[in-house]
Amino acid sequence: MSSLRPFHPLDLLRLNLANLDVLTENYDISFYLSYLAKWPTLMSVMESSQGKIMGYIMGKAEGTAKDWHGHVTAVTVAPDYRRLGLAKTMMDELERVTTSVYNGYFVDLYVRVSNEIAIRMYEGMGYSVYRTVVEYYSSGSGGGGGGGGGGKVGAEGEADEDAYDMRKPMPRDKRRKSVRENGREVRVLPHEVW
Amino acid sequence: MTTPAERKNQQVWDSIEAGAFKQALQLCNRRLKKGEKGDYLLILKAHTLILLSTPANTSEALQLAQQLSSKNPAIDSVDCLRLLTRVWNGLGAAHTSEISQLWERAVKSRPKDEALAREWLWGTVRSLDWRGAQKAAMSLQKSFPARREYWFWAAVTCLLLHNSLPETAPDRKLFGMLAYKMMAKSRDDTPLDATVVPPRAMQTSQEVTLMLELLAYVSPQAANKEALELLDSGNLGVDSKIGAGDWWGLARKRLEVLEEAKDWRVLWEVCRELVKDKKKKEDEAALAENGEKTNGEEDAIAEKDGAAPADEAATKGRGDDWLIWECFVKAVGELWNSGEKEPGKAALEIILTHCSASATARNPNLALVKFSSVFHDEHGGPEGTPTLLEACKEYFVKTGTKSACFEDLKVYLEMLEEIETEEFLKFVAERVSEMSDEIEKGQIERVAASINLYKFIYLLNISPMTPPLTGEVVSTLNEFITSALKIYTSSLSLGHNLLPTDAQYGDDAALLSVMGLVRLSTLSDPPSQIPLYQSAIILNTLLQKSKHNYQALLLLVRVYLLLGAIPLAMEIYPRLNIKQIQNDTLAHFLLTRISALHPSSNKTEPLLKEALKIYETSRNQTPGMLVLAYERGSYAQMMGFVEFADRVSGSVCRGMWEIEKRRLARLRPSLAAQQKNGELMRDGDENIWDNRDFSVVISCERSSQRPFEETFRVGATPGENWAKGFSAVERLVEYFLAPTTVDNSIPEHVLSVLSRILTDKTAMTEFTPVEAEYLTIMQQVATATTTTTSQDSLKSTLSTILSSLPKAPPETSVTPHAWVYLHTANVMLDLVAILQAHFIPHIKQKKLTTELSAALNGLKKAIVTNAATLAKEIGEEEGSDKEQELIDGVLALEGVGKELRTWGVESGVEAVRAIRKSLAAAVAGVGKGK
Repeated sequence: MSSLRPFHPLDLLRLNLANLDVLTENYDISFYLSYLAKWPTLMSVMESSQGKIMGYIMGKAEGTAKDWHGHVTAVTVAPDYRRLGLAKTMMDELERVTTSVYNGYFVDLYVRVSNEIAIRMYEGMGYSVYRTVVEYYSSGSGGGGGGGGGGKVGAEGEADEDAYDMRKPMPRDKRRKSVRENGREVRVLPHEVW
Repeated sequence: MTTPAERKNQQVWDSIEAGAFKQALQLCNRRLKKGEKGDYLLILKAHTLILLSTPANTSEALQLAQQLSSKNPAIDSVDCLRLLTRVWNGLGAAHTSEISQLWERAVKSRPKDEALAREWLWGTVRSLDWRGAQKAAMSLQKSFPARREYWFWAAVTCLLLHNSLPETAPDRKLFGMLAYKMMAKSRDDTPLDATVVPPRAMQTSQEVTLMLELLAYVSPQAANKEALELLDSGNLGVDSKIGAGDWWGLARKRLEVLEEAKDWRVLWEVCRELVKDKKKKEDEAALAENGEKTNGEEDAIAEKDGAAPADEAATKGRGDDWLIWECFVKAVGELWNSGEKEPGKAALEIILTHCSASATARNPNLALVKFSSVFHDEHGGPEGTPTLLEACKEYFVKTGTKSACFEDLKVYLEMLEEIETEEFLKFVAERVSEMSDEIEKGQIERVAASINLYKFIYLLNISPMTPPLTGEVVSTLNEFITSALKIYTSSLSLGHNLLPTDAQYGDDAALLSVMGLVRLSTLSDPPSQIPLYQSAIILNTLLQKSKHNYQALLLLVRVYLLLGAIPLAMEIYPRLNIKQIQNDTLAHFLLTRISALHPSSNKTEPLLKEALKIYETSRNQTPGMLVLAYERGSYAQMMGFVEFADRVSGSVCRGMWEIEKRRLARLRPSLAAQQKNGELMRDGDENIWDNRDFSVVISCERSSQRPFEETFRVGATPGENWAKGFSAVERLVEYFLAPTTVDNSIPEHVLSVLSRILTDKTAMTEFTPVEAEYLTIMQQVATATTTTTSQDSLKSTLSTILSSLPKAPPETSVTPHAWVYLHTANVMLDLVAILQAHFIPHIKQKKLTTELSAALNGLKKAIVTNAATLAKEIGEEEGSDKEQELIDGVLALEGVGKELRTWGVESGVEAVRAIRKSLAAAVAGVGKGK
């Protein structure tokens, strides 16, 4: 049983089932609160009937002109609650808000190129690779702000890892400009995407 | 271009940044001596004086701040005012109102300066001074009426002031009413037609949500009625254009309010609409479209070309929310009981349609279980309602391979009679045995279903077990543990495709076996240590295969602590990667009583320091985020931000870690010199919160039982009384250190706090026996220190202290839970340290303390000598009969030991030895802090 509800600041004290997971980053307080202050409806938690937080999503609206879009900063589900479609429900809500509140052209997210399970999951939700961001994830550090959960894992000497920028067109993108066939081959450097 | 003064200021800031506060002060003084003038320089000096934090410097800073704040004409440079605000903040909460006055004077001198007026508000918000903020916000909206946001800022600030005031404050109601009237005016000014909107009318969903939040605070009786009117309204409600900004947030709110208002008929109708299946919605939409197409609709449809229909976009994913299903079933149940049978019949049909449409959709399938639970007692309900047992079985058939299946069914299984639960377990066991395991996917699913079966067995059969530990109980538990271990072992062959970050498929089976072992240990009288050693072996094995399984890490930290293997617990703990706010919610798993468990370790102090950082971070960051919420109009978040700041600053852990830090510095005097003490908890503090997360640990216990984690804690659970009691002790130590400069009423105050706690039975459940003894003696110490003590009564108090001194812990107290020995010895050493270094020197009549002094020396010597002997004994036990006896128990030839042997006898022996060595190191550290 799962219920989606708006993220409340006190939830920061109760995210441990998801945040103890090795692939979910723990950001500092101001990071979460600034998202809540700026994009309150793009942040939701998925709660069980026992009141446990099974997962959460945080996103923002950014870009200019035709690049105006919703961005998934983090989406995570605690290990016990995976394979239940919770991530999809949370993404659906973020897409709904991106369209109905922010009128964005698309939703995008970043994912490690090695994270095949996540990539397949996002593809199943209608996302496709728009471009490859070279060495977006630095080794041994946090996620670099990528969607799909930046990794905590990483050891000294590990090579930096590329990210796929995956996008899904929203109704406003009538010409489907956020989709392209050969996205994996289009390589850009991190500073070009910021 | 920077000016010379700016460059010189930068030099001061650079020194501050580098922590060279004295140098920063010298730089300021040198410039002032040379005759340099300027407010900024003086404020910078005051700021530096505060950072130096000696009483003399603070007092000089206060004088400077007062002088600058009352200057005529008032200082109106924003940079100066901001820095002066920091100075006042640094001087403590008692001076908060100065900040508002400071800005107010500046604003009065430049009434047209909007930026300055806003800074006044930010200055007060950053210091969480709601009275000042309310004044600033009201002034802002009055002076600049064209800016609509200022109206809402003023309303929300009135509400925040209202919330910050105690219930008894005479003006609390007034500010609540003011906030309400302002928001009600905005609500009433909002037209249906959104083309022309008055500036102060509501325009965003955040403003609507603010109104809803506000109702609960200021008008609880009428809140539901007014909230429903608002949520149903055409201009601001759930389905309005403005409401669309937070459609689901408002829709949820409507369900919650309807449930609270017990308006079952409307709740049922609203839910029925929300759970309608997609096809039905499409049919209805098609009907409407064909029936009455009006001008403009074609355009609207054309606009949506290539997009999902607006209706779907609006409700996508939301019809399948558990809150809706829960309210749906609850409403029809209530209506049924009041005689309205039709909704029940219709609801059953709707649920069944959803279930047959998707066998895997969890919510409607569980709604069927909930539906049957409503009629469980009288076995009634509409025709076709399954029994609760049938529904549970069906749910397992559909979701039994998901780990969430257990949590979903738990509450319903607890409703069943014993005969039914037996049938359920039999059914599940049969289903699991029938599962195909020809291909790997099938094998993985079978493991998952088996784990659920064992969780059900634990819930229904193991959880209700009570002492005594009969032979039958032992055999049931052993059967459970070994079967769970077998599932785990068999699952290991399935994980070859898993990533290093993944957990193995059977990990929960291993955790279940540990849960069984802990049960075995706690049911024994006295508790047995063998199952804990066995648990450590299982968890270590699990963590070799699943490096990041945090459940195993949390349990292993606990098991190591109980066995006294503190160095090993400290080694495992960093693998949890506790960061940021988790230092408040999770650090307790290791840090509770840590100073008295392993004070001699170099890791203890950094861990405490790291944990304490979060409180500083929150204090620095949260107010800034409130400013951001004002600026971005996120009003609905602001009460939560304030609540969050309160929870963190009033965290009981913050008080506890400060005590641990100070205690540690006494047990390791080399730390004391470099340590800067933080704030102690005060007895009068009401804003105390327990943010510790215990619920993160796996538990399959019945709701009538304590959660699993609670059954094997490291001693009594410390909380508010523990923190307040020991804070009082620390305050007494501060008094001994500087009796002339510190308030001399402290001994009386400490005495009253300790007397209150020591006579409160509930409060005393937070203390271990030795902590209670420590507190009792400190009560006597406070008595002996009070100024009114006469010579005779001093003598008598000293004699009481002497006679109540505890005895060194016997070596036998190292079993079954070795932490008890470490804790007792170290707490006693801390007591001795306080008495020897602080209390005795304070007593002027030396003759009176000679005997006590000798006794303390004797006690300390006995503790340290005993510990050294014990450490040597444990350290040298490798190959001894004693070790063999322990290993024979852990790796017994039958039962759990036999299973563990299949993983390799050598590794089992090594694990036991590692624990004993770790214990020996912790014991050897007693009295060795330098």
